[in-house]
Amino acid sequence: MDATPHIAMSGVSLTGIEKSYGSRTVLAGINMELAQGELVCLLGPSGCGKTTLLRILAGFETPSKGKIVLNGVDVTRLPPNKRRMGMVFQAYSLFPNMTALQNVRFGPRVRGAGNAASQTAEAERLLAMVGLAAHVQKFPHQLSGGQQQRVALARALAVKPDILLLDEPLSALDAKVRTQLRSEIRRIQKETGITTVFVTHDQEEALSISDRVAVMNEGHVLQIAAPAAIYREPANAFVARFIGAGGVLQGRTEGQGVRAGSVLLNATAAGALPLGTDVEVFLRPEHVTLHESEAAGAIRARVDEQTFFGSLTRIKLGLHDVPQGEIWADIPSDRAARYTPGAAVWASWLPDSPRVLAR
Amino acid sequence: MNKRLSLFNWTIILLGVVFFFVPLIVTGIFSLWQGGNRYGFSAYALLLNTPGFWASLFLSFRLAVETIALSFFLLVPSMIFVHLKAQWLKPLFEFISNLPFVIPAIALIDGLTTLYTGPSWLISTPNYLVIPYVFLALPYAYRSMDVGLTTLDVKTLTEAGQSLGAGWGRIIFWVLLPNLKAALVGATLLTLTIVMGEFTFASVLLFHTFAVFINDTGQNAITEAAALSLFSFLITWLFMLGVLVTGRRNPASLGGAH
Repeated sequence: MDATPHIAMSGVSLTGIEKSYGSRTVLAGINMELAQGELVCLLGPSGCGKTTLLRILAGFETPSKGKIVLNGVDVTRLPPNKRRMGMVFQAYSLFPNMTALQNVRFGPRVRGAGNAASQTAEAERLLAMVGLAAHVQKFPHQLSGGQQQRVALARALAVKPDILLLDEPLSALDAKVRTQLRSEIRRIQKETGITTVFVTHDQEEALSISDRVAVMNEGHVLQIAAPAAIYREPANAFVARFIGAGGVLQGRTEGQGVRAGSVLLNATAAGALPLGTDVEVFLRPEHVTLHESEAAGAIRARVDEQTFFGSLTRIKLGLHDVPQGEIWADIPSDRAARYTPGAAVWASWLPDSPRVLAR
Repeated sequence: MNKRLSLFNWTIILLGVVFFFVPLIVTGIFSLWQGGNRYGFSAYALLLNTPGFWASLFLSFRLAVETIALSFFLLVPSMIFVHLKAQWLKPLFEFISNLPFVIPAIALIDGLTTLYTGPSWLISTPNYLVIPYVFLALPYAYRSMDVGLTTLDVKTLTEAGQSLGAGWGRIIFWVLLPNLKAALVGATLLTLTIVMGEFTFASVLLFHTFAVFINDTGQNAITEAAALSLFSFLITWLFMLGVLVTGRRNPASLGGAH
């Protein structure tokens, strides 16, 4: 038995995928290419269509329009049991009447891959890979939620799938187990080199685990890019608002800045847009610096509230001279005591920090 | 307060025991009566040698087995289908499953004899009874299986099986049925209990089942009828005990210690 698994490398291509239920469109014109060995997260709010897209990939739903090509083969109309896809579900999906070992052996058994001895050896190897060598004979009800999802992962890998589909596999777990298991999923995914689609509504999870993140809303993929690019250069207002925290200010471009109320906000990116364009300015909290007295380029603000995050404290600022304006600033918690609610402060940022998007 | 409540509870339990057990004890004593002051097991010995006893017992048992087989053949795939693909049909299933409670047996027989007029291997043999028995056992078999299927996350388990390459046959026989064992055993035992004690259909349609045998015997030999009644109770209790034992086992659980 090899030390490393032989899982077929493959690419996935989604072209013009649409899905409608009656007059309700759930997915609209999804085009996506997944490279071999890539982990792509589908990220978006509830009801954005990410799970439907995953279920279409798995074969549990049929697209109203469009084509799915896996490894060069059109699998759009292929039933799920004929596709080589491994899936881990959000709900615990282990077969309750089978031990962990029997669960992992199930796929190779039904596919007739190898004999009983080789299937058992492979199942034991995969269970060892997910850290459950000591639990092979346990039934699902004897395992914790995290352990059950590890078994489900091993079971999905046992069929040597062309693509691994993970449907919010960590959402039922507590925070500590979730963080630990997502690191292990990433490690195993890299070890096996298997193309993976991971559905989540947790942006921290998506940003930390993916090669690329596809941000979805209302049935559309709004942006698909590397996590850092999604965070730093959101393609539109929805992505900017959905990913990370930050303040949003509205105004009009004026040279290398944005006029908001009586204040000219520093924003180099505004220079790329025509003068007088209605825009939104997005400012990440880590880019905002607070001053206790007036400083060059800083605008007047008022501390509205503090949120303690351990090493950092996030401070919400109300802006005096900008209508409906509020921004956030992250500061080290040991400096937070001086910024009590109601205190007058000045906020500044580097001119190239804000993202400026036309409204 | 607790002591008074406890006393009240014990009183209720005692009344229940008296209500249920005194008739049985009296029936038991009567079944042992051999005239005058003599008591013994002659009624039981006579019973076992009465022509028709074993034949009627085996006939009822065979009909129960056939009823169970036909019920499962009809119910298992259709109920899995409803749970998986057509939840909107569930109220209709509920309604149909409750019909035997509201349609009088005699109306059922009338409808049955009008509807089923052939073939002869069916209508002229006791096998004919399997049709009304399936209908009669439907509420209990349906309820038991519905509870089992609701407890199980059928959709997720089915999709997990499909994603691993399993077809419908393997999903049903390897995954779903083993996890519905308690529900199926419960449905089996309830159906057995109903069929073994069913009298109206068999009597009207002139088939000599165990319940009909008890009735006929009771008209000629009263101590034997008492012994038969106790024997019948014993069979029913054994089946109900089976239902309780299987029901107390935890149904297949998808959750775990988190």
